[in-house]
Amino acid sequence: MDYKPDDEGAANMYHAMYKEHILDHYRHPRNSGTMEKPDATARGISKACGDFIDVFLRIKDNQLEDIKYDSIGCAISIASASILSEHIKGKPLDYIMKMTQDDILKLMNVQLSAAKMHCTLPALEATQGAIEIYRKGHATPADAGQPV
Amino acid sequence: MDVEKIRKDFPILAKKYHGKTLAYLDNAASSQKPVQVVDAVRDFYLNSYANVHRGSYDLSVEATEAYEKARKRVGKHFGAKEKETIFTRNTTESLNALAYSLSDSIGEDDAIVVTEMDHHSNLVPWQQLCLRKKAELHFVEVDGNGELADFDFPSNTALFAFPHVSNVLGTVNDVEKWAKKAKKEGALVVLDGAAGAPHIPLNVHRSGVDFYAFSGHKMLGPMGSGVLWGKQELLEKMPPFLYGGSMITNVEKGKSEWADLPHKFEAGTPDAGGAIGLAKAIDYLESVGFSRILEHEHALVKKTLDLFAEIGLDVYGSPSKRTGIVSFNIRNAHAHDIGMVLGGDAIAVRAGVHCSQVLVKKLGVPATVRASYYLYNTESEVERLADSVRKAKEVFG
Ligand SMILES: Cc1ncc(COP(=O)(O)O)c(C=O)c1O
Repeated sequence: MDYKPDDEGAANMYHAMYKEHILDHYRHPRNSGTMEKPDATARGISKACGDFIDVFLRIKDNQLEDIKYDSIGCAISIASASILSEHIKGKPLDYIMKMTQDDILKLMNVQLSAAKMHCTLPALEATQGAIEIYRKGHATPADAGQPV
Repeated sequence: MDVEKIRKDFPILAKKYHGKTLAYLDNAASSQKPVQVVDAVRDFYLNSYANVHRGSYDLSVEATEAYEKARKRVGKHFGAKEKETIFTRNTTESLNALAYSLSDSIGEDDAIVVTEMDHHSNLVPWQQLCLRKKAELHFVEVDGNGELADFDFPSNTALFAFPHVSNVLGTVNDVEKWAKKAKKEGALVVLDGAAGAPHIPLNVHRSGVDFYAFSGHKMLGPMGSGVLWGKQELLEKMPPFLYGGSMITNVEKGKSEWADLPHKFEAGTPDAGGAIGLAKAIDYLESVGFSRILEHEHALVKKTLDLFAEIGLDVYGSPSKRTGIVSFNIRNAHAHDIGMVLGGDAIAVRAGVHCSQVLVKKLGVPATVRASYYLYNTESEVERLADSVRKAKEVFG
């Protein structure tokens, strides 16, 4: 994954990560916006650059019924939030809690440069953080689910 | 000024990434080094190296002489006496040492004034000092042109800290004017020279400031070479910041006495190689000529602004006096994405908040892209920058 000078493959990575499907999510982010009276909300912050994302969740029967997010970030961070939101909408909370950065990278289907890896994390961390907060207020048995 | 000849002294500038020659436009973060500077450091380590101020043998005397000669050379550049020229690691260390050493003279009834364009290293040490001492902290605002707005110093201003040059906008502040204004209220005046020293030589005694800090690495010198200058009569009254070897004359079980200036403020083994490299860097810059370098930067800035106007970009600040810095954004695009596109074209710029969050927040954006020029940059690099930005605008704008 390390970027090496004069290496064509790695060289292209700077530009190659801005693939059409990523740019499409960046230009038309799915589920973006805010939510009136969400069941849970949290902010994810990228420590490396200070960009952030606010996530709003509507939860019913241990499933994520709806998700909205409001974010200031680069194309990769917005695309990752958009792709994640599409994927997890309607999924059981347990499934979402088990997701990792690798799952997001698979969903994004793009090679990221080392410097942009961290941009894919705040959306997931904020979502999982919000679910944790929600669960603290609603202690019910969780249902099963497997990550991608 | 023969830029092509100068470029030969900086072998790194011939490096290629992705088949393209590196265009190094991140000089406000740090400058590249000419072979002359690297050779001077190398020569010290290979031929004159020992610890300084400690030996009864020739080699140590040689090393000490080389270090003290570097101090004299560096100090002469900005009009300082050797006693007043303290070597530190960088501007940040200089300013923090100052904030600690001066902390006993700041109290609850005092105010410290900084500016909205200060780098974190000339803001946070003073902010934290104010919090510790329950003193007031005031900010000189930045106006729409990216210059310091008029400001009435409160009569209890104990200290005014400001930058010679803004590392985000390139604004050159009128040091004498601001120093005089703050002095009217009896304030100590601290000048952050990190972004100014590489471009504009300052004579500290004429400038009216009491303290001056800068970093060698931004002006062709090695990383780890920095300077803190202070007026002798002030430094003499101030307590040391670091205790230990080299800064002491007499130690007993219950008390210690400090060495004379500048050693009182240089505890421990110094970065003598760094100081020697910095002296050489100043030789190099003076031989090219600071005013010629600044003129060259102005030509590059003008070309940048012309090309950026054609493309239609958001450019921040239009100060009447500036160095070779242009901060910009593509409307609706994130600075980091622009930076990545430029990076893919082997163009090195900085995208981010430039350790100046107060200023970048005031600009109303999460981050900016900053191109910053120096003596070895060329018009063709500016053209490449513009071409790459144009490409980024098509993708993200
Ligand atoms: C205006 C200004 N002040 C302070 C600093 C801090 O310099 P250093 O990191 O060398 O301590 C910088 C450089 O980043 C700067 O541009």
